[in-house]
Amino acid sequence: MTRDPFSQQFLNRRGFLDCLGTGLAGIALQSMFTRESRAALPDWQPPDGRPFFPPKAKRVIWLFMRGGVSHMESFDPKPMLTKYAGKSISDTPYKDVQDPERLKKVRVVVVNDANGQQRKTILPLQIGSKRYGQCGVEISDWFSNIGSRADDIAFIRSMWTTDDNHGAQVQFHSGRHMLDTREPTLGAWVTYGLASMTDNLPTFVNMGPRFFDIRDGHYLGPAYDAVNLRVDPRNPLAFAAPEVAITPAEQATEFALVNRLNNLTATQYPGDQALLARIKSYQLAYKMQTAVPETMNLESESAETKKLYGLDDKITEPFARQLLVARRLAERGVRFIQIEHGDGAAGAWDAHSKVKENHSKLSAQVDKPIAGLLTDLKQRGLFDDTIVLFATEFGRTPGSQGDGGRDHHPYGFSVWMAGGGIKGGTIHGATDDIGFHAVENPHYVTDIHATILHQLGLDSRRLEVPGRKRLERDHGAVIKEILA
Amino acid sequence: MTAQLFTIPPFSAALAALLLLAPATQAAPDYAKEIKPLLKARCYACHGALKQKAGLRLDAVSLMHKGGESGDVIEKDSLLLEKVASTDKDERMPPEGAPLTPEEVAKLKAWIAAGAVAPSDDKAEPDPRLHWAYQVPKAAPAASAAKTPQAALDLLLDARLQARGLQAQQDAAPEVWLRRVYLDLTGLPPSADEVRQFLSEFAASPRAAGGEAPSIMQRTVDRLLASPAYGERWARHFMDIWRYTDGYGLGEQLRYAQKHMWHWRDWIIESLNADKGYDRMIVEMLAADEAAPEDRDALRGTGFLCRNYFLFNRTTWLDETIEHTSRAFLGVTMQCVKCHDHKYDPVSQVDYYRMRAVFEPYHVRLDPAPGEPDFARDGVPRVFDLHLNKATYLHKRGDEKNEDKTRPMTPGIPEVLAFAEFKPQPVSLPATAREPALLPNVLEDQLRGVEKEIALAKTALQQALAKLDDLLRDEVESLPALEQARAAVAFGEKTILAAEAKPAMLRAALAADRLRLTEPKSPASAAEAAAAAKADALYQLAKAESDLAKARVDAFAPATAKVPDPAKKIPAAEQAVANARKKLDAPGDKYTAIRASLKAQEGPEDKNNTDVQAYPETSTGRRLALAQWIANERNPLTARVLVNHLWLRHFGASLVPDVTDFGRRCPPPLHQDVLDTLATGFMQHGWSMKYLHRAMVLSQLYRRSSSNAGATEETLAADPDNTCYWRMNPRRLESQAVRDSMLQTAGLLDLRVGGPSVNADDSSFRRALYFVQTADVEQRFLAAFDNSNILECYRRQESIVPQQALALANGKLTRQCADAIALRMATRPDTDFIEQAFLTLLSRAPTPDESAACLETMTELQQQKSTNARSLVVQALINHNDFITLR
Repeated sequence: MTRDPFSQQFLNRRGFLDCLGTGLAGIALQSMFTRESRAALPDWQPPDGRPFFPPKAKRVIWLFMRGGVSHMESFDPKPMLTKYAGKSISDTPYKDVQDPERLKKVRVVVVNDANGQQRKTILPLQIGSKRYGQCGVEISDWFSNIGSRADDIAFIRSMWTTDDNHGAQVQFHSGRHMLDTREPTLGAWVTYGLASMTDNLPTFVNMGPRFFDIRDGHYLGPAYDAVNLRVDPRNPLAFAAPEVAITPAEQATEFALVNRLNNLTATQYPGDQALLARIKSYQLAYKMQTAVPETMNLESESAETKKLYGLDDKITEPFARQLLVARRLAERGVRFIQIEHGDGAAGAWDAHSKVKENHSKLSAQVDKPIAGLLTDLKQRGLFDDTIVLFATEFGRTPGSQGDGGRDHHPYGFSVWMAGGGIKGGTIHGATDDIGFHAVENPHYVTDIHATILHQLGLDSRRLEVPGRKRLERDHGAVIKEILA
Repeated sequence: MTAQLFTIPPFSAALAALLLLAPATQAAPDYAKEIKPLLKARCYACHGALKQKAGLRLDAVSLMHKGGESGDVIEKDSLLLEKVASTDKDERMPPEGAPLTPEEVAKLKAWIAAGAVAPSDDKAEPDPRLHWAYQVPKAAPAASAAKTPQAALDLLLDARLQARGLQAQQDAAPEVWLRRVYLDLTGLPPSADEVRQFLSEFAASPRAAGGEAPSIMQRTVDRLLASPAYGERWARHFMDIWRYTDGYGLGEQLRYAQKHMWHWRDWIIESLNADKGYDRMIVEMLAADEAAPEDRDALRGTGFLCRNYFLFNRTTWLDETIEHTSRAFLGVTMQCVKCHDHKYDPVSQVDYYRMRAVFEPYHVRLDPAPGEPDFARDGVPRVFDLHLNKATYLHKRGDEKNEDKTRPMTPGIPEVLAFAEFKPQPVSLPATAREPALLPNVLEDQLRGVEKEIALAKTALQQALAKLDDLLRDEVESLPALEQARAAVAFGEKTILAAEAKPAMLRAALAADRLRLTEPKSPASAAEAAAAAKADALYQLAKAESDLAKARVDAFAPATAKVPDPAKKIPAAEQAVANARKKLDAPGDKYTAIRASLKAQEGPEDKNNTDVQAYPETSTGRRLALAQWIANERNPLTARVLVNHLWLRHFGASLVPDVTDFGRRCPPPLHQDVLDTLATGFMQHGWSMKYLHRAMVLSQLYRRSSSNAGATEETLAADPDNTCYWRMNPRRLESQAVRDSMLQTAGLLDLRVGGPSVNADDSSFRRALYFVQTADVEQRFLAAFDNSNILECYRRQESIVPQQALALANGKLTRQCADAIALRMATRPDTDFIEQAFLTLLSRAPTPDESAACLETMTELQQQKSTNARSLVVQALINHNDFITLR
């Protein structure tokens, strides 16, 4: 049995809490002490870590499919594509979708790129679809497992964005186009606004590849960047385990010495909050190096649970593992769990050719694990205060590109949300009959941000930082129709 | 709860009377506390000192009565109330943002109903032009009594302490001061020997009079400021402020900044070490190509502008240039004026586009780096004016697709900060700026390159001959094998011939280039051009013959799916030789000019950027004019902003809270006298940063203890946040300083200064400022300690998170350093070892309690049969709070 390196209490617990002003159990593991230069400005205080109003949800699981999922072949099937297959859009009743006025909202980054172009010849649906649940939502056969949870989900079929290239990934996370300045992502804002609920895990984590921006905090600072986790219990986090040979006893002894020396210094520097936070951070780190691998270790999960996510199948296993870890992180108080699916710079879902091959393969990787996650959250009572978001940077063109492919499509696409006070079985918004434009209740990406923040008891207008005026569009608007 | 509970009986007179009375019994809202802040937040931007839309100001009650075009706005049928309560979106005020809440409207209503009472001292906002930061700084008169700048600083702050009844802390122990000044000035801690020597000299040193630093301290500071590590330490700070990045993109495609940006980093280091005036540094960063077009060292400074290069969008590129030039040097935020006039500061959208016009002509290129003709391997990024006459238009609402073509923008600076007419003077450029091939080193470097080519070709020929010999000696019968070997020999010979034809071609081309520039139409010039064309044709023929020989070698390769016909290239190569022969019969006067410069692509469509270019003969002089306006004693902001940055990095707090925004949101700083006295002294002393460092680190203020221990109750109660610097602020070291210190104490740090960026991995022991840094690269150790963000990092965060503990406790690097330190002390007895380890890592001796703790730990570890007891104790000291903290 290894000793507890912190058993010698040099400061009583109360004394420590007094110094930091608040109970630490639930506060700011992410950054226990960040010097706030702006605090010296008149009429401004940084947020105190509490929601502004009673929240409906406590945490977010953010599932992002990198590359652009075809909305018509996932959550917004369009039979007219099959009907008019092979025709030029201008020869169909929907020719006005290409009215230049309606295409103006796009801001092109790479001029005359081979991708991100209008595709005129209609490609038929590459997969069948059917209705699911009481709500009767039409969903493609590639997502039948998610379909089976349809009555827990609010589908938003009227998203739009302005980047016709994969910088739209950054845009979906931050609300800003790549040609604008980089802004904090939603996860960073949530971390900035709400205190941590865990004292041995980071409060904002990311799993999976990122390419166009590896940071989140930006002007809020690197303390608000997501901490990158890997599902490998042997190497889940940078420096999580000793990189050189050391016995647990040796390490405990070393931590005990660090603790003792720091406490001796604390007597010479009374009231040095940074030092007290540093002492605490070693206690947390010591716990974290156990807690993080423990979270990744799925041995204690039942065979039934593993099966539910698809851990027993080679195809679903990698994503299933991430989602099961996500649930375990959620249980342990992690606030914002961001999971990015799809390798490559552009993202694997980027089906410029052979949508059928691409999406059938990728949907097979994610469909079952996601449905399993929803079921599991529900059976463990986590569903009601956890928001699950399924999103992608844009949809794909109704017209065909190359060999049965579809190009980038920012004018209309689908995302969905579930749990956390979201009204299940909701179908909100619509694109036109060929899935081109979001025509009914269109939503820019920040409406998703506003909705999530609202459920968490936050309001982006009250999170503003002096000298950093956010635009109206950055704030977005809550999608009230999908709230329970 | 049912609605009925709230139903009012319609004819209940008594109740109605009660309701009417109700507001009167409540006190009317307090104007100063409830009304004025609301109006300030929501209305002043358009109806205040900054702007008076419809002639209306709302920043004083008297002005509300005076009203605007429609008269008094707060009398009975208040127009103000009507506007804020309107449900018509076109009528409603304020027009932007959310409408006022019903509570806010009710408050306004109640205040107006109660007679719109204003306090007697109600004052309108002052004229924005009178904002403190827009006035030229003046030294505080009181400071004139001081003999040195550091004494002036102490005098001013002591007066503040006295006025507030605060008592300053005693000096920190001399070794604490020593560690502070070492890390502050060089980013590296003192060695144990340096600590010991300093302490003995300090003990013997006479105390100076009047709070002056003893001479041993002054000598130490002088020595550190003269060390090359000083330039590296402060270069890292300025790399934060000036947003250093290496070039990056996607795969081979360069999208951001330039290749070889490190030349700019080295310019920063060298400029700081040489104590180049900050005014001169600004001129070189913004306009060395105009101010000193032949000074190759100075040109590297323009990396500041090359850094903003962006392949895909010129507006994004220029937006960053405008925004960060004004934030870094002037503390002015321009971001919002891209789309509309500033809401707080007297800066207009027109000002923004006038500044854009300053930068409109500029572009970037690589000039040759001495000794390296290959731009993939090296080259110096620099700026130059390319599109001299490109017009700039205001983008309506910031939309680049919506230019206001009716009004071309003239280059200029924000009107409110103008102190003289902005008059750029075109600069005529020397020949080497126009044709970098004429630079003295270019021919030599290219000839050296050819020598290498010839040497390589000769080696290849030797090998081919040896192989042929082997075949002949072995009497190999296989004809194809012999033929192949012979073809290889022929290729080797032809390659040498081609390389040998190159020097004549290069020399002739350069001679022709020179005359073309100096006497363009002379007969001599024509003759040189003809000679160059002939030399070129000779080289091209030799090259074509070498290519043909290569095609013949390739023909022996076995056919593959990819190359079904290996001999396919031969006919084309033969044709090329025939063409080259024909060309040699009549070479004409066109020749291949020497490529000594590489223009950056002006967008992905610009495929000809690698062609040899002749650049413009003049530069607009706009950037030089801008630089001279910024780096000017009459500019009220430049020196103050710099002083504030240095102060922040020496004292752990800034005099002006937001280091990038000195605008009207920022009230006069508490210690404006200190700021202004330092700023004026700085400018009077040739904008010398070393002057400022000395003033700061030799002050009494800087010597104070950072501890609260022994502070009076009054002091702790009156100034708990230490706004008056009655003690020193402890600071956490920046990511790079944490790592560099660790390696330095272990004796592992590689102290070479400058050079190309190195890969950011654990195996490099160079100082961390030399690591490749882009938006895509994250060094995991540095990332744990709030590393700088290349997109913007005017001030480092000092977060404390458990991942930092993990990085220091579990990282391979920490143990490597700990082992090296322990090994060095292997022969010392335990107590001696502990003292030496404390001196090495924390720059101080251990207290008896600390010694005891370490000894006990070592005993404990030995009981655990640990073989690393000493390493682990050293590692614990690396994890000590005070190893990564400046006390």
